Amino acid sequence: MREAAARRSTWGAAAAGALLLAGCATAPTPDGALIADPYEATNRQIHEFNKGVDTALLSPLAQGYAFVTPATIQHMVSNGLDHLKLPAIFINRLLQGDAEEAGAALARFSLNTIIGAGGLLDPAREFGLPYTPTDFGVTLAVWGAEEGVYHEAPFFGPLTTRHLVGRIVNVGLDPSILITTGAVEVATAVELVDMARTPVDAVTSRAENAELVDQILYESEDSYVTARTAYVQARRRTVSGEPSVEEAPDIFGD
Amino acid sequence: MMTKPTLTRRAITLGALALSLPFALPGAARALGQSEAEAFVTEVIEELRSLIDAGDGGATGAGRFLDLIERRSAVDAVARFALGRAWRDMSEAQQTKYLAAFRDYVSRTYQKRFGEYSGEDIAVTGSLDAGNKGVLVKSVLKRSAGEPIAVEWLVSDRTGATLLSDIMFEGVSLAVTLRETFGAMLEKRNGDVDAFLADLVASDGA
Repeated sequence: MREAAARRSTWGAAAAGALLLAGCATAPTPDGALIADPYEATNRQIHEFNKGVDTALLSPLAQGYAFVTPATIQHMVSNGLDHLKLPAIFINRLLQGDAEEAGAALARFSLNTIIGAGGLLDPAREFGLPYTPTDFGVTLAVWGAEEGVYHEAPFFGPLTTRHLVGRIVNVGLDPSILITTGAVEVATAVELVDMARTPVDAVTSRAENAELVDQILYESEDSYVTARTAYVQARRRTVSGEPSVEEAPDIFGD
Repeated sequence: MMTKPTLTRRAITLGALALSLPFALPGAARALGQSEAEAFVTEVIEELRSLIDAGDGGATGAGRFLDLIERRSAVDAVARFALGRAWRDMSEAQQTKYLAAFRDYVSRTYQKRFGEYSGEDIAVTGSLDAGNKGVLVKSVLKRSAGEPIAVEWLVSDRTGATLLSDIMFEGVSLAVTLRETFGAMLEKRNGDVDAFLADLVASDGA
Protein backbone atom coordinates (compact mmCIF):
# COMPACT_ATOMS: atom_id res chain seq x y z
CA MET A 1 0.00 0.00 0.00
CA ARG A 2 2.61 2.50 1.05
CA GLU A 3 4.73 1.52 -1.89
CA ALA A 4 1.83 2.09 -4.28
CA ALA A 5 1.15 5.49 -2.74
CA ALA A 6 4.80 6.42 -3.02
CA ARG A 7 4.80 5.37 -6.65
CA ARG A 8 1.72 7.46 -7.30
CA SER A 9 3.24 10.55 -5.77
CA THR A 10 6.42 10.00 -7.80
CA TRP A 11 4.26 9.96 -10.90
CA GLY A 12 2.46 13.08 -9.78
CA ALA A 13 5.78 14.84 -9.26
CA ALA A 14 7.07 13.65 -12.61
CA ALA A 15 3.97 14.89 -14.39
CA ALA A 16 4.09 18.23 -12.60
CA GLY A 17 7.79 18.56 -13.38
CA ALA A 18 7.12 17.69 -16.99
CA LEU A 19 4.50 20.39 -17.31
CA LEU A 20 6.70 22.90 -15.55
CA LEU A 21 9.65 22.11 -17.80
CA ALA A 22 7.49 22.27 -20.88
CA GLY A 23 6.19 25.61 -19.68
CA CYS A 24 9.61 27.06 -18.90
CA ALA A 25 11.34 26.31 -22.15
CA THR A 26 9.37 28.76 -24.22
CA ALA A 27 11.46 31.30 -26.03
CA PRO A 28 9.97 33.74 -28.52
CA THR A 29 10.06 32.34 -32.04
CA PRO A 30 11.99 34.78 -34.25
CA ASP A 31 9.88 36.59 -36.82
CA GLY A 32 9.00 34.32 -39.73
CA ALA A 33 10.93 31.33 -38.29
CA LEU A 34 9.32 27.96 -37.71
CA ILE A 35 10.53 27.46 -34.13
CA ALA A 36 12.84 29.10 -31.58
CA ASP A 37 16.26 27.44 -31.48
CA PRO A 38 18.15 29.03 -28.56
CA TYR A 39 20.50 26.02 -28.21
CA GLU A 40 21.47 25.93 -31.88
CA ALA A 41 25.24 25.75 -31.27
CA THR A 42 24.95 22.73 -28.95
CA ASN A 43 22.21 21.20 -31.08
CA ARG A 44 24.46 21.38 -34.13
CA GLN A 45 27.25 19.51 -32.30
CA ILE A 46 24.80 16.79 -31.25
CA HIS A 47 23.49 16.71 -34.82
CA GLU A 48 27.01 15.98 -36.09
CA PHE A 49 27.32 13.21 -33.50
CA ASN A 50 23.96 11.70 -34.52
CA LYS A 51 24.96 11.94 -38.16
CA GLY A 52 28.15 10.06 -37.31
CA VAL A 53 26.15 7.34 -35.56
CA ASP A 54 23.95 7.06 -38.63
CA THR A 55 26.91 6.84 -41.03
CA ALA A 56 28.85 4.33 -38.96
CA LEU A 57 26.09 2.20 -37.49
CA LEU A 58 22.44 2.84 -38.20
CA SER A 59 22.55 3.23 -41.97
CA PRO A 60 24.76 0.14 -42.59
CA LEU A 61 22.61 -1.94 -40.20
CA ALA A 62 19.44 -0.80 -41.92
CA GLN A 63 20.89 -1.56 -45.36
CA GLY A 64 21.96 -5.00 -44.19
CA TYR A 65 18.57 -5.65 -42.65
CA ALA A 66 16.73 -4.57 -45.79
CA PHE A 67 19.07 -6.66 -47.94
CA VAL A 68 18.93 -9.97 -46.08
CA THR A 69 15.33 -9.88 -44.77
CA PRO A 70 12.53 -10.99 -47.10
CA ALA A 71 9.89 -8.28 -47.61
CA THR A 72 7.20 -10.38 -45.90
CA ILE A 73 9.31 -10.80 -42.78
CA GLN A 74 10.15 -7.06 -42.76
CA HIS A 75 6.44 -6.38 -42.89
CA MET A 76 5.81 -8.72 -39.95
CA VAL A 77 8.62 -7.21 -37.87
CA SER A 78 7.26 -3.72 -38.37
CA ASN A 79 3.70 -4.94 -37.59
CA GLY A 80 4.99 -6.60 -34.43
CA LEU A 81 6.84 -3.47 -33.27
CA ASP A 82 3.76 -1.30 -33.85
CA HIS A 83 1.65 -3.88 -32.04
CA LEU A 84 3.80 -3.70 -28.90
CA LYS A 85 3.27 0.08 -28.76
CA LEU A 86 -0.51 -0.27 -28.55
CA PRO A 87 -0.77 -0.65 -24.74
CA ALA A 88 1.04 2.69 -24.25
CA ILE A 89 -1.07 4.20 -27.04
CA PHE A 90 -4.22 2.97 -25.28
CA ILE A 91 -3.13 4.57 -21.99
CA ASN A 92 -2.30 7.86 -23.73
CA ARG A 93 -5.67 7.94 -25.52
CA LEU A 94 -7.35 7.56 -22.13
CA LEU A 95 -5.18 10.34 -20.68
CA GLN A 96 -6.17 12.48 -23.68
CA GLY A 97 -9.81 11.82 -22.82
CA ASP A 98 -10.35 10.22 -26.23
CA ALA A 99 -12.49 7.18 -25.39
CA GLU A 100 -13.19 6.42 -29.04
CA GLU A 101 -9.52 6.21 -30.05
CA ALA A 102 -8.71 4.33 -26.82
CA GLY A 103 -11.36 1.79 -27.75
CA ALA A 104 -9.97 1.53 -31.27
CA ALA A 105 -6.45 0.86 -29.91
CA LEU A 106 -7.81 -1.81 -27.56
CA ALA A 107 -9.88 -3.43 -30.30
CA ARG A 108 -6.92 -3.37 -32.67
CA PHE A 109 -4.67 -4.94 -30.04
CA SER A 110 -7.15 -7.73 -29.22
CA LEU A 111 -7.95 -8.48 -32.84
CA ASN A 112 -4.36 -8.64 -34.06
CA THR A 113 -3.24 -10.63 -31.02
CA ILE A 114 -5.90 -13.29 -31.55
CA ILE A 115 -6.35 -13.55 -35.33
CA GLY A 116 -3.21 -11.69 -36.43
CA ALA A 117 -0.63 -14.21 -35.23
CA GLY A 118 0.10 -12.29 -32.05
CA GLY A 119 0.46 -8.98 -33.89
CA LEU A 120 2.72 -10.06 -36.77
CA LEU A 121 -0.18 -9.71 -39.19
CA ASP A 122 -2.58 -6.79 -39.43
CA PRO A 123 -6.15 -7.99 -40.11
CA ALA A 124 -7.43 -5.08 -37.94
CA ARG A 125 -6.70 -2.67 -40.79
CA GLU A 126 -9.26 -4.49 -42.96
CA PHE A 127 -11.75 -4.01 -40.14
CA GLY A 128 -11.28 -0.25 -40.28
CA LEU A 129 -8.88 -0.10 -37.32
CA PRO A 130 -5.65 1.32 -38.80
CA TYR A 131 -2.53 2.01 -36.73
CA THR A 132 -2.82 5.58 -35.40
CA PRO A 133 0.13 6.22 -33.11
CA THR A 134 0.20 8.76 -30.29
CA ASP A 135 2.49 9.37 -27.31
CA PHE A 136 2.75 11.29 -24.06
CA GLY A 137 4.06 14.34 -25.92
CA VAL A 138 0.69 14.55 -27.67
CA THR A 139 -1.05 14.00 -24.33
CA LEU A 140 0.88 16.97 -22.89
CA ALA A 141 -0.28 19.06 -25.86
CA VAL A 142 -3.89 18.01 -25.23
CA TRP A 143 -3.43 19.07 -21.61
CA GLY A 144 -2.32 22.49 -22.80
CA ALA A 145 1.47 22.33 -22.41
CA GLU A 146 3.44 24.65 -24.72
CA GLU A 147 5.50 23.16 -27.55
CA GLY A 148 8.70 24.71 -26.19
CA VAL A 149 11.86 25.12 -28.25
CA TYR A 150 13.97 22.97 -30.54
CA HIS A 151 16.45 20.37 -29.23
CA GLU A 152 18.50 17.67 -30.82
CA ALA A 153 19.17 14.80 -28.40
CA PRO A 154 21.97 12.23 -28.78
CA PHE A 155 20.61 9.07 -30.51
CA PHE A 156 17.01 10.34 -30.38
CA GLY A 157 17.48 13.21 -32.83
CA PRO A 158 15.19 16.23 -33.22
CA LEU A 159 12.69 16.98 -30.42
CA THR A 160 10.62 19.89 -29.20
CA THR A 161 10.77 20.44 -25.43
CA ARG A 162 7.28 18.99 -25.05
CA HIS A 163 8.15 15.96 -27.16
CA LEU A 164 11.38 15.45 -25.17
CA VAL A 165 9.49 15.37 -21.86
CA GLY A 166 6.86 13.17 -23.47
CA ARG A 167 9.43 10.64 -24.61
CA ILE A 168 10.85 10.29 -21.11
CA VAL A 169 7.43 9.87 -19.47
CA ASN A 170 6.26 7.55 -22.26
CA VAL A 171 8.87 4.99 -21.22
CA GLY A 172 7.08 4.75 -17.86
CA LEU A 173 3.66 4.50 -19.51
CA ASP A 174 4.73 1.49 -21.57
CA PRO A 175 3.79 -1.72 -19.73
CA SER A 176 7.20 -3.04 -20.82
CA ILE A 177 8.60 -1.06 -17.84
CA LEU A 178 7.20 -3.85 -15.65
CA ILE A 179 9.49 -6.32 -17.40
CA THR A 180 12.49 -3.98 -17.42
CA THR A 181 12.20 -3.22 -13.71
CA GLY A 182 11.62 -6.88 -12.84
CA ALA A 183 8.16 -6.21 -11.44
CA VAL A 184 6.82 -8.95 -13.68
CA GLU A 185 8.65 -12.26 -14.15
CA VAL A 186 8.76 -13.38 -17.76
CA ALA A 187 10.71 -15.92 -19.76
CA THR A 188 14.22 -14.86 -20.80
CA ALA A 189 13.16 -14.92 -24.45
CA VAL A 190 10.40 -12.39 -23.79
CA GLU A 191 12.81 -10.24 -21.83
CA LEU A 192 15.28 -10.29 -24.72
CA VAL A 193 12.59 -9.33 -27.24
CA ASP A 194 11.55 -6.52 -24.93
CA MET A 195 15.12 -5.25 -24.58
CA ALA A 196 15.72 -5.41 -28.32
CA ARG A 197 12.59 -3.44 -29.21
CA THR A 198 14.02 0.06 -29.22
CA PRO A 199 17.22 -0.63 -31.21
CA VAL A 200 15.35 -2.88 -33.66
CA ASP A 201 12.74 -0.17 -34.10
CA ALA A 202 15.51 2.33 -34.93
CA VAL A 203 16.99 0.02 -37.58
CA THR A 204 13.67 -0.92 -39.20
CA SER A 205 12.44 2.70 -39.30
CA ARG A 206 15.73 3.74 -40.84
CA ALA A 207 15.28 1.00 -43.47
CA GLU A 208 11.67 1.97 -44.18
CA ASN A 209 12.54 5.64 -44.66
CA ALA A 210 15.95 5.09 -46.24
CA GLU A 211 15.59 7.56 -49.12
CA LEU A 212 14.05 10.31 -47.03
CA VAL A 213 16.67 10.07 -44.28
CA ASP A 214 19.50 9.91 -46.84
CA GLN A 215 18.17 13.05 -48.51
CA ILE A 216 17.86 14.94 -45.25
CA LEU A 217 21.23 13.91 -43.82
CA TYR A 218 23.48 13.58 -46.85
CA GLU A 219 21.99 15.41 -49.83
CA SER A 220 20.75 18.68 -48.36
CA GLU A 221 22.60 21.97 -48.25
CA ASP A 222 22.41 22.13 -44.43
CA SER A 223 21.26 18.84 -42.90
CA TYR A 224 20.73 20.40 -39.48
CA VAL A 225 18.24 22.94 -40.82
CA THR A 226 16.59 20.40 -43.14
CA ALA A 227 16.09 17.93 -40.28
CA ARG A 228 14.74 20.68 -38.00
CA THR A 229 12.31 21.95 -40.64
CA ALA A 230 10.98 18.51 -41.57
CA TYR A 231 10.73 17.29 -37.98
CA VAL A 232 8.94 20.34 -36.55
CA GLN A 233 6.30 20.35 -39.29
CA ALA A 234 5.72 16.58 -39.19
CA ARG A 235 5.54 16.61 -35.39
CA ARG A 236 2.96 19.40 -35.43
CA ARG A 237 0.86 17.25 -37.75
CA THR A 238 1.18 14.27 -35.39
CA VAL A 239 -0.02 16.48 -32.55
CA SER A 240 -2.95 17.98 -34.48
CA GLY A 241 -3.79 14.56 -35.93
CA GLU A 242 -5.29 15.91 -39.12
CA PRO A 243 -4.65 18.57 -41.75
CA SER A 244 -5.78 22.00 -40.70
CA VAL A 245 -6.25 25.22 -42.58
CA GLU A 246 -4.15 27.11 -39.99
CA GLU A 247 -1.01 25.11 -40.71
CA ALA A 248 -1.20 25.80 -44.45
CA PRO A 249 1.20 28.62 -45.36
CA ASP A 250 -0.15 31.97 -46.52
CA ILE A 251 1.79 32.16 -49.79
CA PHE A 252 0.25 35.47 -50.84
CA GLY A 253 0.38 36.89 -47.31
CA ASP A 254 3.43 39.12 -47.42
CA MET B 1 -32.41 64.33 -30.79
CA MET B 2 -31.98 60.73 -29.76
CA THR B 3 -32.61 59.17 -33.14
CA LYS B 4 -30.29 61.38 -35.10
CA PRO B 5 -26.98 59.77 -34.14
CA THR B 6 -28.51 56.34 -34.72
CA LEU B 7 -29.58 57.32 -38.20
CA THR B 8 -26.20 58.77 -38.93
CA ARG B 9 -24.53 55.60 -37.75
CA ARG B 10 -26.84 53.51 -39.88
CA ALA B 11 -26.19 55.74 -42.85
CA ILE B 12 -22.48 55.32 -42.38
CA THR B 13 -22.85 51.56 -42.09
CA LEU B 14 -25.01 51.42 -45.21
CA GLY B 15 -22.62 53.68 -47.04
CA ALA B 16 -19.68 51.49 -46.10
CA LEU B 17 -21.61 48.42 -47.14
CA ALA B 18 -22.55 49.99 -50.46
CA LEU B 19 -18.95 50.99 -51.06
CA SER B 20 -17.69 47.50 -50.34
CA LEU B 21 -20.30 45.77 -52.50
CA PRO B 22 -18.86 46.42 -55.94
CA PHE B 23 -15.57 44.97 -54.72
CA ALA B 24 -17.01 42.16 -52.62
CA LEU B 25 -19.45 40.72 -55.11
CA PRO B 26 -17.17 39.90 -58.03
CA GLY B 27 -14.68 38.53 -55.50
CA ALA B 28 -17.29 36.23 -54.03
CA ALA B 29 -18.40 35.12 -57.46
CA ARG B 30 -14.80 34.36 -58.47
CA ALA B 31 -13.96 32.42 -55.29
CA LEU B 32 -12.61 29.00 -56.00
CA GLY B 33 -15.05 26.20 -55.21
CA GLN B 34 -13.93 23.07 -53.37
CA SER B 35 -15.06 20.66 -56.08
CA GLU B 36 -13.35 22.81 -58.68
CA ALA B 37 -10.11 22.67 -56.65
CA GLU B 38 -10.41 18.89 -56.23
CA ALA B 39 -10.88 18.44 -59.99
CA PHE B 40 -7.84 20.67 -60.58
CA VAL B 41 -5.68 18.56 -58.26
CA THR B 42 -6.87 15.33 -59.89
CA GLU B 43 -5.70 16.77 -63.23
CA VAL B 44 -2.33 17.78 -61.77
CA ILE B 45 -1.89 14.31 -60.26
CA GLU B 46 -2.62 12.73 -63.66
CA GLU B 47 -0.02 14.96 -65.29
CA LEU B 48 2.51 14.20 -62.59
CA ARG B 49 1.86 10.51 -62.93
CA SER B 50 2.41 10.43 -66.67
CA LEU B 51 5.59 12.44 -66.17
CA ILE B 52 6.92 10.20 -63.39
CA ASP B 53 5.94 6.97 -65.13
CA ALA B 54 7.83 8.10 -68.23
CA GLY B 55 10.81 7.66 -65.90
CA ASP B 56 12.91 10.32 -67.59
CA GLY B 57 15.25 11.53 -64.88
CA GLY B 58 17.36 13.41 -67.44
CA ALA B 59 17.22 16.84 -69.03
CA THR B 60 14.04 16.18 -71.06
CA GLY B 61 12.25 15.05 -67.90
CA ALA B 62 13.46 18.13 -66.05
CA GLY B 63 12.19 20.31 -68.91
CA ARG B 64 8.75 18.71 -68.80
CA PHE B 65 8.69 19.07 -65.02
CA LEU B 66 9.61 22.75 -65.26
CA ASP B 67 6.83 23.21 -67.82
CA LEU B 68 4.36 21.60 -65.40
CA ILE B 69 5.47 23.93 -62.58
CA GLU B 70 5.12 26.93 -64.88
CA ARG B 71 1.58 26.06 -66.00
CA ARG B 72 0.15 24.62 -62.79
CA SER B 73 1.72 26.51 -59.88
CA ALA B 74 1.94 30.09 -58.66
CA VAL B 75 5.71 29.74 -58.94
CA ASP B 76 6.57 33.45 -58.64
CA ALA B 77 4.45 33.86 -55.50
CA VAL B 78 6.01 30.74 -53.95
CA ALA B 79 9.48 32.02 -54.83
CA ARG B 80 8.77 35.35 -53.11
CA PHE B 81 7.30 33.54 -50.07
CA ALA B 82 10.39 31.32 -49.86
CA LEU B 83 12.65 34.36 -49.54
CA GLY B 84 10.48 36.18 -47.02
CA ARG B 85 11.74 39.62 -46.14
CA ALA B 86 14.93 39.29 -48.18
CA TRP B 87 12.91 39.57 -51.41
CA ARG B 88 12.13 43.24 -50.81
CA ASP B 89 15.78 44.10 -50.16
CA MET B 90 16.87 42.68 -53.51
CA SER B 91 17.58 44.77 -56.58
CA GLU B 92 15.46 44.16 -59.67
CA ALA B 93 18.34 42.35 -61.35
CA GLN B 94 18.78 40.10 -58.33
CA GLN B 95 15.06 39.34 -58.25
CA THR B 96 15.08 38.33 -61.91
CA LYS B 97 18.08 36.12 -61.38
CA TYR B 98 16.49 34.59 -58.29
CA LEU B 99 13.18 33.77 -60.02
CA ALA B 100 15.08 31.90 -62.76
CA ALA B 101 17.34 30.09 -60.28
CA PHE B 102 14.33 29.19 -58.13
CA ARG B 103 12.56 27.49 -61.06
CA ASP B 104 15.66 25.53 -61.86
CA TYR B 105 16.28 24.51 -58.25
CA VAL B 106 12.70 23.45 -57.62
CA SER B 107 12.35 21.44 -60.82
CA ARG B 108 15.64 19.62 -60.20
CA THR B 109 14.81 18.93 -56.55
CA TYR B 110 11.25 17.77 -56.95
CA GLN B 111 11.77 15.81 -60.15
CA LYS B 112 14.04 13.63 -58.02
CA ARG B 113 11.60 13.52 -55.06
CA PHE B 114 8.50 12.68 -57.05
CA GLY B 115 10.42 10.07 -59.00
CA GLU B 116 10.56 7.99 -55.82
CA TYR B 117 6.79 7.65 -55.82
CA SER B 118 6.71 6.08 -59.27
CA GLY B 119 3.98 3.44 -59.53
CA GLU B 120 2.40 4.33 -56.17
CA ASP B 121 -1.33 4.87 -55.90
CA ILE B 122 -2.61 8.36 -54.98
CA ALA B 123 -6.22 9.52 -54.76
CA VAL B 124 -8.02 12.73 -53.76
CA THR B 125 -10.10 12.14 -50.62
CA GLY B 126 -11.71 15.52 -49.88
CA SER B 127 -10.94 19.18 -49.22
CA LEU B 128 -11.06 22.02 -46.71
CA ASP B 129 -12.02 25.63 -47.40
CA ALA B 130 -8.90 27.58 -46.42
CA GLY B 131 -10.45 31.04 -46.82
CA ASN B 132 -7.93 33.58 -48.10
CA LYS B 133 -5.37 30.84 -48.66
CA GLY B 134 -7.68 29.03 -51.08
CA VAL B 135 -8.70 25.38 -50.86
CA LEU B 136 -6.71 22.62 -49.17
CA VAL B 137 -7.28 19.42 -51.18
CA LYS B 138 -6.60 16.19 -49.26
CA SER B 139 -5.21 13.04 -50.83
CA VAL B 140 -3.71 9.75 -49.70
CA LEU B 141 -0.62 8.16 -51.20
CA LYS B 142 -0.64 4.41 -50.69
CA ARG B 143 2.81 2.88 -50.64
CA SER B 144 3.63 -0.71 -51.46
CA ALA B 145 5.59 -0.78 -48.18
CA GLY B 146 4.87 1.24 -45.05
CA GLU B 147 2.01 3.38 -43.84
CA PRO B 148 0.07 5.51 -46.35
CA ILE B 149 1.18 9.14 -46.65
CA ALA B 150 -1.24 12.07 -46.32
CA VAL B 151 -0.63 14.63 -49.08
CA GLU B 152 -2.39 18.00 -49.18
CA TRP B 153 -2.48 20.40 -52.10
CA LEU B 154 -3.08 24.09 -51.52
CA VAL B 155 -4.93 25.55 -54.49
CA SER B 156 -5.63 29.24 -54.96
CA ASP B 157 -6.99 31.56 -57.65
CA ARG B 158 -5.44 34.68 -56.17
CA THR B 159 -3.39 35.27 -59.31
CA GLY B 160 -6.58 35.17 -61.43
CA ALA B 161 -5.95 31.60 -62.55
CA THR B 162 -6.43 28.38 -60.56
CA LEU B 163 -2.93 27.40 -59.47
CA LEU B 164 -1.12 25.25 -56.94
CA SER B 165 0.60 27.23 -54.18
CA ASP B 166 1.88 24.44 -51.95
CA ILE B 167 2.08 20.67 -51.42
CA MET B 168 2.28 19.15 -47.93
CA PHE B 169 3.52 15.62 -47.18
CA GLU B 170 2.43 14.47 -43.71
CA GLY B 171 2.25 18.10 -42.72
CA VAL B 172 5.63 19.04 -44.21
CA SER B 173 5.08 21.94 -46.58
CA LEU B 174 7.32 22.39 -49.61
CA ALA B 175 6.97 26.19 -49.44
CA VAL B 176 7.80 26.37 -45.71
CA THR B 177 10.71 23.96 -46.19
CA LEU B 178 12.12 26.11 -49.00
CA ARG B 179 11.67 29.23 -46.87
CA GLU B 180 13.56 27.68 -43.94
CA THR B 181 16.28 26.33 -46.24
CA PHE B 182 16.82 29.65 -48.03
CA GLY B 183 16.62 31.58 -44.78
CA ALA B 184 19.42 29.44 -43.31
CA MET B 185 21.48 29.74 -46.51
CA LEU B 186 21.23 33.53 -46.42
CA GLU B 187 22.06 33.63 -42.72
CA LYS B 188 25.12 31.46 -43.24
CA ARG B 189 26.32 33.88 -45.94
CA ASN B 190 25.67 36.86 -43.64
CA GLY B 191 22.81 38.03 -45.83
CA ASP B 192 25.00 38.27 -48.95
CA VAL B 193 22.34 37.89 -51.66
CA ASP B 194 24.84 37.50 -54.52
CA ALA B 195 26.68 34.68 -52.74
CA PHE B 196 23.33 33.02 -52.02
CA LEU B 197 22.25 33.32 -55.67
CA ALA B 198 25.55 31.92 -56.93
CA ASP B 199 25.22 28.90 -54.63
CA LEU B 200 21.57 28.40 -55.51
CA VAL B 201 22.47 28.27 -59.20
CA ALA B 202 25.37 25.88 -58.52
CA SER B 203 23.39 23.62 -56.16
CA ASP B 204 22.20 20.34 -57.61
CA GLY B 205 18.99 20.44 -55.58
CA ALA B 206 18.39 19.48 -51.98
